[in-house]
Amino acid sequence: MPYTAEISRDKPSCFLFLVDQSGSMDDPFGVGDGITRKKDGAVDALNRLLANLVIRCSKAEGVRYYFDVGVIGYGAVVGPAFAGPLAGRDLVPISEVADGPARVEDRLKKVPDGAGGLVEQQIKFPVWLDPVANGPTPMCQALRLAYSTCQRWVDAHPLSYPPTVINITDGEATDGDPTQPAMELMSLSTQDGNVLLFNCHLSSERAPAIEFPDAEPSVPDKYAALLYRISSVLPAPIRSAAQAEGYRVSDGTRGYVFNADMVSLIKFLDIGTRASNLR
Amino acid sequence: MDTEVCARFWVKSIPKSGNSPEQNEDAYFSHPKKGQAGTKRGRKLAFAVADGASEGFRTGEWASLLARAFYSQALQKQFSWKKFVSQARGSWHDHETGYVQVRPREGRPLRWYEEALIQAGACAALLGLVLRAGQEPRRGTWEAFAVGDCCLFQVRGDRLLSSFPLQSSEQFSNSPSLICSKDSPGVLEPVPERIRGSWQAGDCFFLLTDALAAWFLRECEAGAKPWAELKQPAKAKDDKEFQRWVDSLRAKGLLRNDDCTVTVIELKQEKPARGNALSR
Repeated sequence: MPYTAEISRDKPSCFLFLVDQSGSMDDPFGVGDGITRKKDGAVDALNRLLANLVIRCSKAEGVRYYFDVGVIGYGAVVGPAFAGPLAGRDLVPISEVADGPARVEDRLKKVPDGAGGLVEQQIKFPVWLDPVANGPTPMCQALRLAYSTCQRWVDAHPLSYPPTVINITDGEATDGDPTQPAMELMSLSTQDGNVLLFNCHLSSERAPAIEFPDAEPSVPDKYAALLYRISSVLPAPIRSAAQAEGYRVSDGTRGYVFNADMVSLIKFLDIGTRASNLR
Repeated sequence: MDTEVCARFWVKSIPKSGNSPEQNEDAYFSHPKKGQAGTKRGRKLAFAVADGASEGFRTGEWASLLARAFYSQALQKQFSWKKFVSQARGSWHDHETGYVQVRPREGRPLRWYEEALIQAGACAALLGLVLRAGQEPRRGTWEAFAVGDCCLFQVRGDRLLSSFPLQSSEQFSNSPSLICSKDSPGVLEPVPERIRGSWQAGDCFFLLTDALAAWFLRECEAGAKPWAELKQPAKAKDDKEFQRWVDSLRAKGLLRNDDCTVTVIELKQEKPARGNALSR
């Protein structure tokens, strides 16, 4: 049965994030406070997700090597996007991610005070990625780089839970139709299943998000249907995670969000990286 | 003449395949001195098993502390769940504070992710059983408390009398209720499931952590009598036979690769004791 491999130190899995760094990422989200720029929201969500992944892999004896993690940025340049000591590296074991943030900032988080209000609590916020918005949207090139990165990885880990690739973008590819490179990427496989490709389309418009659809979204934006078609159907464990978060899912539900705001981006990342089989 | 409960017990606990015994996040507490097997008598006997969540700060230690705390609180005259949880959290807080203070002194300051883990706390499932002597010898009552998916099974002869708190293998999920080491404002405290029943000499109780409990229920659903199969490896002299049995189930795909803990309790057919019996 596919997508059931246990994720262990002998058989780690892989997360690869593709982040749109084109000029339009400088614009604010269409929904929300109207101030948060998409490039800031995307890297905040990714930095937060990387921190959560590290925490999930942490045990008393240290951070267990359950995942290799990479981030590819695409805009004026296409390539690894880590800042700091991991700069230039494509896939990094999660234990090295833990010890390699560019910096650790002190940030304030609002938490319930137990009396119906909120209080601010100081937390450590590690930063691996900085916001970038510059140039076109070479998504095809990014997908091809993801393909070569994942190909090396699946060759080295034939028994592992296959890589999950999450693409965060706000617009159309400027270097052609991404269908072919996306299909090639999804054709890579380990014995446990094909590479998963999930797409998160960030909003520029004031419209509600379409989250985890099981049919082509009927919206005027032709790009929505294209991204839907190049998104993988959710495997059972992730489908359950989406269901537990209150989404209506079916066997055909795909890992895709159209017109995502900051909240749905964070939820999408969380659900897309929910590996229930950690040992 | 005072009646009393007389029980023999056996415990086995092994980690997931690939992990060392120190990485076993299951815990149990049956007796302060007789660790994994022995006989207990008294007006009231207590047993507990716990299962630390796979993610969190030192969850195995929290599970262990919970099992021990339940045992000692359950033997008090008046058992209060709220008091038990609050005392366990108090002990954990002291333990955690000591750990946080000692790390920089050892030249190993906490990393950012350790601070985050400590802030989030540890969580565990717990199942506690209390056996009470009755008015007549060789029978009495029992009461169990559970948060999460550790399960109790009561067997009489070749019949399963009770299954608690879950009754079906489909009820297991990846997100059971858990007792956390911190009470988070705004987060509802899990309310323990409770059950009462009666026992008689010859009855057998099984306290199992989730992977074994799921296997047990699946076997029952298939019309088998898993208690008969489980008893021998669980009562074996050392862990090796139990390990071999668990390995064979895992190899056949019948048992999820998880930490596995079983406590078997047999109520004995003994004459009532004279005078003051040991209560624990």
